[in-house]
Amino acid sequence: MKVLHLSWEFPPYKVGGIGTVLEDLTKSQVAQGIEPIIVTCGFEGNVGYEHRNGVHIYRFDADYIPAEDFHSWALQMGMLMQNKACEVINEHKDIKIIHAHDWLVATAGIGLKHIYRIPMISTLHALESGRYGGIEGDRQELIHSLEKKLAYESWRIICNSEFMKRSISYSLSIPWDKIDVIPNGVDIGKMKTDFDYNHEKSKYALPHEKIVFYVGRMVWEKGVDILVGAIPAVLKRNPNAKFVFAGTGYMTDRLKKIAHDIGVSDKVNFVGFVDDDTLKRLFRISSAFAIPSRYEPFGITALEAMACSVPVVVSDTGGLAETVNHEVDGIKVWPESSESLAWGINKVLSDDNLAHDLSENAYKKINEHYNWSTISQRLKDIYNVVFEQYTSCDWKPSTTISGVGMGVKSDS
Amino acid sequence: MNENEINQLLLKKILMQLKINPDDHETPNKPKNILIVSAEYLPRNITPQALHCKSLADGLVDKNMNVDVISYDPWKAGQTVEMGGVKVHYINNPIKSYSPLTWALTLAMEINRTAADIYHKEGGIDLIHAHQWEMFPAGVSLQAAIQKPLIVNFYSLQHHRAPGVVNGYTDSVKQIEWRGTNDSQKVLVNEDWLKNEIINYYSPEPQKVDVVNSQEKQWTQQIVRDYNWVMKNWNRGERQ
Repeated sequence: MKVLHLSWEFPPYKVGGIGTVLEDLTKSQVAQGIEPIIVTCGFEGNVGYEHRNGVHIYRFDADYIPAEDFHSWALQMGMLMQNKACEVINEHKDIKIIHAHDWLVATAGIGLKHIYRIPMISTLHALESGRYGGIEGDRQELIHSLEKKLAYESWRIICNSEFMKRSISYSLSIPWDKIDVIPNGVDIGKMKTDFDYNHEKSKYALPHEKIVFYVGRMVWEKGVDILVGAIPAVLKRNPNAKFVFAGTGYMTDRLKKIAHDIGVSDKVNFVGFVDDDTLKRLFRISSAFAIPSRYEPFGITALEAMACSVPVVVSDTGGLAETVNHEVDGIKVWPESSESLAWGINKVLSDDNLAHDLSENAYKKINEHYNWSTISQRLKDIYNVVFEQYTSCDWKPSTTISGVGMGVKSDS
Repeated sequence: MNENEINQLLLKKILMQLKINPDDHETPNKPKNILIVSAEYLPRNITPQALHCKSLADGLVDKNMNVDVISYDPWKAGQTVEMGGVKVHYINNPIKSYSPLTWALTLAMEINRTAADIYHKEGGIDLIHAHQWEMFPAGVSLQAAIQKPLIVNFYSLQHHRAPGVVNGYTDSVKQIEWRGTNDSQKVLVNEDWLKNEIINYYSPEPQKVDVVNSQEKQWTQQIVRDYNWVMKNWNRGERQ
């Protein structure tokens, strides 16, 4: 079964988590007998076709799109994506499902669905109403209405947590039974790495210091300011703690200033964007991993930390609340509370036995419930159901378009 | 001269005596099903484009062509109205856009959906005629999918609507105007001056741009000739 994935990001270009998730998902789909085809943006001249581990990747030139803002950039990008996808569909002929990822590809996905009459499903990785705590102003209205249209036009909607299912149903007025929850996974093998522990740790902290690590975008929804606010209370009980922040975003300078103003700048290290290998090493040298999010549809970094046997301290919010079992495989703290977050971090840093038990249980959980093989099988089952329904409905094209005619038999 | 050529010549003579233009005689190189996409169409009238599209569609129907028009009208959205043999499909934009650019780029979804219905239910589309830059994104994507020739019509240019303005918005519109010019098989304008400006700014081959003045009597006839020329070249594999 050929499935066309539409995503604006795909490694090596990563902005949020979609690119990483899609890379792991499509890799496991190949093992399930699915032939994934990805149409995505190409930057810095990296355009054209690539066949990697059984996955077809088509990148179109997204470098020179003039735009007044990100929103109109995204819509123009969608136009280019649709045109590229037309070439790809006309070339492959027998694409059975279009799988759209998030609002940025809504116009392309919906256009393709109708022109070719190929069933489309979508994964909503996050919602605009959650990213900024509501919908305000014309830019947010645009994204919100695109999300709504994408959800309406999708045969099925996939999301990664029960929290997201509730949000989609409530915020976009989508029937409950149209939404399937499939969590993201993590490739444990990919998280393994050989390195010199002491040498790596010396880049970020003194030998006696314990690293509390954060990775993610430096934006409001991620609550990094709550973590910075927790530092004095952590240092009071654990003066040997050191805080390492990886990632970029519009709040970075403000966070550095807060750290300076509260007198902890010698205990923080903002390392900016880190590549995958560095990230894996950072997880391994950390004593605790903190996710202080205000809004978190899923929280893939929690799984990555758990796969690296690092105890996690997370806000009891969104998908994180479902992933982590309090005091069994991680610590959950009150969202929006630096005090509660400091309590959780101190608990892990002060009790080695607890930290060990949490990370051991977390690793087991990841291995059993969040492996990509199980996840992609569930997705494949959904593809098959959608295609079966499609073959028995009247919406199928009566004529072919550019030689693209839909077969009526579902692949197993 | 062989027998077939003699017959063709005789047929041409007879048609001329009957005052029927031989060019109107249907051949495989002549498009039958025309899709016009225009933001305006009479009676919804904001600029002369509305009248121009209505007159064009009526003229094409007079020449025995099947004409479908997709046009924006939020009050009639979802309706298909037959007016003098022309089927007008009205659409709305369900997306809350905040500029003509975001409006045009999101409206393309609805144009795609309606065009697909025409394509799948009503016997296909032989040629797409998109009017003004707002319709070019939809025209270009339809062409990419159904692999049929695209003709674009300019009524003005962003260079003149916002002279001297350099910002992301105007650059985006210019980029879309360029794309329409580049990806289409024929560019139509109503005056020489505009033709020269398009050549100046977007550098198409001069013969790709045709001036069709709608004040002249036989102007729809000239457009049909352009359609036929484009179709003939398209069938020969000449896509630009």
